Amino acid sequence: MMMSKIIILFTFFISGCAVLHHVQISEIDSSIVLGGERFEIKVSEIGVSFKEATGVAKALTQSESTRKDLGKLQEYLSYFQMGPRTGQHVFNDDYADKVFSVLKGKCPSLNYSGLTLVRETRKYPVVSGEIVKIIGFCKS
Amino acid sequence: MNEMKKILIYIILLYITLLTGVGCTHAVHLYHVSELEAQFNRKKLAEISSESTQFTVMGFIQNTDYVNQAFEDLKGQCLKGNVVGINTRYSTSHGFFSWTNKIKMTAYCVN
Amino acid sequence: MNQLKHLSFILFIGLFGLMGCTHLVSLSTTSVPPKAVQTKKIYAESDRFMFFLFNFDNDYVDNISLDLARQCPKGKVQGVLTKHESVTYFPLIAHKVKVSANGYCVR
Repeated sequence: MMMSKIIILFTFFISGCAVLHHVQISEIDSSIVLGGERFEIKVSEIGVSFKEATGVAKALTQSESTRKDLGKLQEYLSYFQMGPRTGQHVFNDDYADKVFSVLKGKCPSLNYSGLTLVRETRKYPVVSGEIVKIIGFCKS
Repeated sequence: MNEMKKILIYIILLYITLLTGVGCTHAVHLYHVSELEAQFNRKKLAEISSESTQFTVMGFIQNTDYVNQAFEDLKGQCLKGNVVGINTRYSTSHGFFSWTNKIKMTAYCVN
Repeated sequence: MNQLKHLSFILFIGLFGLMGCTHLVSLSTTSVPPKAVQTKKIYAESDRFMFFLFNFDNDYVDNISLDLARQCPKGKVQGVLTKHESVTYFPLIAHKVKVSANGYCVR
């Protein structure tokens, strides 16, 4: 029990771990990259780890039967959440779609180049930030 | 009786989960933005978009044709022009022993 | 007991053989220019060393495209191959994530 509480505190201590999933670098027009203005677009959604949430709930409860029930509930829930995953589960998959309009806002001339496209996760206990980050250079 | 009670509670909780959509989760795998070449006139851009999905049970599927379909649909909306600045989102919606792969493409059509 | 000690020692030393084990996490490419203009090859990389897999940001990848542009100041960088690799020096304890980009400077 004490060990579980120490582990929970430790995970809070190391919170904010960043995981890099995918990086893409586009073609680079040096006149735009070296002469233009740097911009950064970051869109994110909260991801949830049901396994960790169950783990925390189990650690906080004293009853053995409640722990078993929580484990079973998490197992049944996982049957409804099957499939390939990058990072943690999110409840909304179109959070990245606003990049299209945000890009137009950041670079109204649409004269951009040197894009670095990053898919990363900012991991915290139970929850995470599922981030799509785009860094580029814009010339008016 | 206790067991029956527990099973009933599980069923109710799962029902609530499905109703509230808590069980319906997704994952965005990647988002790509392509270049918009310098020679195209930025004032004559029209936004176009296409989306395709592929449902699979436990991953038993033999092709990824949905990707090509999304691309063909996008090109079909701009037959007399150039498709530029393509934004591509690849995601998966999770389900009960199954999932749906999705591709969404948004771009500009320059006539 | 001695044999167990010997075996443990051999396994421990053997783990050092894993030093620098590299595997590919992801990759991407852009369209390749014609062979006639593939005269100047350029390269940029960035890496992050991690102890116990602790890593608090991914800002180290942000400047790779700027590094490439500086090597090709009056042209366009095309045919970019981006590799995202993970290097294991000592399992769980010492790792490195490396992102590298190869391309051609086309004037």
